[in-house]
Amino acid sequence: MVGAKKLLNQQGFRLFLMVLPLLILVFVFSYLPLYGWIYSFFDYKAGRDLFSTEFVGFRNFQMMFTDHYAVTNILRVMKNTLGMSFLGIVTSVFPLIFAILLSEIKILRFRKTIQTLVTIPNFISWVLVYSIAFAMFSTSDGLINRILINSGSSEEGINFLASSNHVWLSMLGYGIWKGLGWSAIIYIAALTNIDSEQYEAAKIDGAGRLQMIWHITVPGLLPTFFVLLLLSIGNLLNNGMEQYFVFQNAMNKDDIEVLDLYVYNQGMVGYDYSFATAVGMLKSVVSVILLFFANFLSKITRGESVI
Amino acid sequence: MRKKVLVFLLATVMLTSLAACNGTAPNNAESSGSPSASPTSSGGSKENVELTVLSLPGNQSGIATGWWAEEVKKATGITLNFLPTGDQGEQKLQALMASGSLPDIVVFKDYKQVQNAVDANMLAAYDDYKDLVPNLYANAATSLKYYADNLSGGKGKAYGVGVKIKTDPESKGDTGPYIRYDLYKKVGAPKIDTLDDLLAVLKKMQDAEPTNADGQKVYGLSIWKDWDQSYMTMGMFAAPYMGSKIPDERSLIEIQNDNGKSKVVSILSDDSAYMNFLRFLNKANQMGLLDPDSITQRFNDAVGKTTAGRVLFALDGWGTNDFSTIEKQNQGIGFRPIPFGYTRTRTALQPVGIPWTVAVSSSSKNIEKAMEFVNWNYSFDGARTTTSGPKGVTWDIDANGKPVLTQKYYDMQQHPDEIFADGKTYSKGASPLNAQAFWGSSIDPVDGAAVGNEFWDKSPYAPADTKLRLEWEADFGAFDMNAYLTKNADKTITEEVATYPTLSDDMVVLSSRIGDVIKNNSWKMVLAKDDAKFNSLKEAMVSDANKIGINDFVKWYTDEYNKAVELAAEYSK
Repeated sequence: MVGAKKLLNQQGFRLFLMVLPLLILVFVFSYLPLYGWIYSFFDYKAGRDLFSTEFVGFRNFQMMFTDHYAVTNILRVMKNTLGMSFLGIVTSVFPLIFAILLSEIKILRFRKTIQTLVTIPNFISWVLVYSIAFAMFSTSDGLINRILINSGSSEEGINFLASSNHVWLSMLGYGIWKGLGWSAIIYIAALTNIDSEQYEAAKIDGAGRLQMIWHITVPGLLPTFFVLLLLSIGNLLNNGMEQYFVFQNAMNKDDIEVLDLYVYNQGMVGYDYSFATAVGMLKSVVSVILLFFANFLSKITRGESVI
Repeated sequence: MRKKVLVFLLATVMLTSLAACNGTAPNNAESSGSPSASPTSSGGSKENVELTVLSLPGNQSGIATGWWAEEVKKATGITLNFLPTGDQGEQKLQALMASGSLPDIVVFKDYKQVQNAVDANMLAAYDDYKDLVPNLYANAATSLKYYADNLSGGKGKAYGVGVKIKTDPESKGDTGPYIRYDLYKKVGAPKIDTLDDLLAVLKKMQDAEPTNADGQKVYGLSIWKDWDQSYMTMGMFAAPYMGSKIPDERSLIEIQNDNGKSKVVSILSDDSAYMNFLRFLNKANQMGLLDPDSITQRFNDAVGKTTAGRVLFALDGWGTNDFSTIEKQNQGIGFRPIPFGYTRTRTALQPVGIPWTVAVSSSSKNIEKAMEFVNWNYSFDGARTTTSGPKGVTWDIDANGKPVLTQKYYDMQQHPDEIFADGKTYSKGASPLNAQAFWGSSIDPVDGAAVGNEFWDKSPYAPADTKLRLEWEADFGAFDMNAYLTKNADKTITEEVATYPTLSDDMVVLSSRIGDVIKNNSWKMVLAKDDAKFNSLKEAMVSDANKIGINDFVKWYTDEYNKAVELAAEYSK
């Protein structure tokens, strides 16, 4: 009892107790799920007790690297994942640009209306986004195709949704349409933090509107931009699956299947949970490699390491 | 000091609650496994109970409403809540299986799914509730025996029962494929022997009616991918019209007839019905006959198009009835069946039923109620209600003890858009379960009449046949398609058996891996711009499927099928 009191009086222990709830959360949500990796070592069938199914050791991992069909698929899927994530990172300046343009609108009501309209898609689920896309782009009834056909510029209409062309770009387009307004919010908040005296000083010095944007607004937003950029690099492999899941069909599947979707397709659709788990683990491995790479870059450029 | 205590308490509470989370999970599955046979408080009472249903063959979700739901409620005091299935049913089943419990009532699509659920102790055995399901035992005994012998994991109890049990040959009724008969006649009703003939006819029909009354484009046919598992499931529906049979959505083989003996071939072999169907679809696509939205739309979209008169040909009923209203039929407009030159495969008698299976979950809180529903579904009254509407309203038992359609039924047919009951029209209020217990031709031993109303004696007040029907009758010399096929028996073959092997775990995984290749390439082939592209995709598909091991699948299936044929002989007496 005396010992416990002594312990509580120690500064370090008290801080530890304060951080403990968070540590528990991290453990529950980040480490506990790792237990699921055990599925990759069994020939698991849904519904049966895991330990009553056959233990297969590293068979699923071997398959990932030796089975020709699996190897080509995983390479293709990795290409899609990295490709689309990269496009997403490249276009992450769009919300910044949008926020700046928005702030330049001087009529308040007009600006608010635009901001609301652009933010709303963020709250529409991907399933509904697909319904909207189907209503717009389907070949026989879609609005766009009806206009094309009725105006005579296309005879058959264009099958946008079942096209194997520009899949990455169109997916990027839907993503931007959905996320632009939402992602801009953080920049809009950052804009208010820029000291208005700077603008007044610039005005007195005779700076034009564009000059003020380039020399004051952009530098003011860059720190926020870089923080978000780093975060998005950390999420390189996590580009989600709902979007690709609802838009996938036979024509675009080769280009649209990202890692998460591939895991779903192998596990839930293909009844091969164990192999899907093994592929899912691959994601963690790649993430660790990326982390060390980022750490290495940070060491070179800033001289200090993250880890 | 107080603060320190608080912090400490908080931390301990969090830790203990975490431990509690871990501890409680695995108990549920076990406690519900052991059956308590005697009906408890809720059994038999008429208080209303809501049961959750997962019907893989079903296409609707939500709480069932309409006349069928009302009848179920009246007879059993049960409201059915359908989980969404449609194109994601199999995945939903997988997730539910992994979670350790199934919804109250499940309709499976193949024997493998049943076997998995039985192995996982997730189904209740009908044998343990015999008192509650007298109709089931009276009317589906052979099926129950088959399930007890072959799909109980050696426990010898029936955990499921087949649907569409067919104990009597069908000599009446219509079967697909259906064609817009008015337009077919308009273009001169040329004889259709081959699929190429069909394409030419459909093209002419499309030229004769390029848009429907609302100015929307008309297509030869409109298909969908919702039901695809290991190949394009539309092929399964087309195969019988070309003398072949694909047993289920995961089996990559066709059963063809070889001089009266069944022969198993790969669906990718060059002369398979499946490949011929893909060629047909591709040509249709090149000719502008195939709805270009086929690959992106859902079943309901396609049915909507058929109902709106935008489709000229359908492999099965799917919306054709809703288009061919009595009013239109009297003007000679509507869909009618059309025979091809190919030998037609007709299904054998199937006392076991088809592989679709009705089962009750062992973790249901209302097993007795669920049993009561199954009992109703497997009664002849229930089956007739499901196919012909509420007893005493649209049909009834007449003075001679035989079922007849009432005046109300014919009125309903005259005005299909009128609200029939519960705020819905007759066709919208029909059963979403899609698991009729009996085939229409199966006869109720009590009154000697069949389940389907097309087999019943016509009442004197029945309206005259419609103009469309009379025309068809005159053209083909038979009242309906099954009568025609029965008359032209030389152009039909009947399957040896209607029961098929249950896939092993390895074969399921193999089928799905090959299926990935076949599904994708099949759709790409159908949408290919020209023959060269079609052929190169086809070669890629066949070579990939060979590499992954389709031949192993075919070999396995051939061996197992031969065993199944022998086995089935025991159940077809």
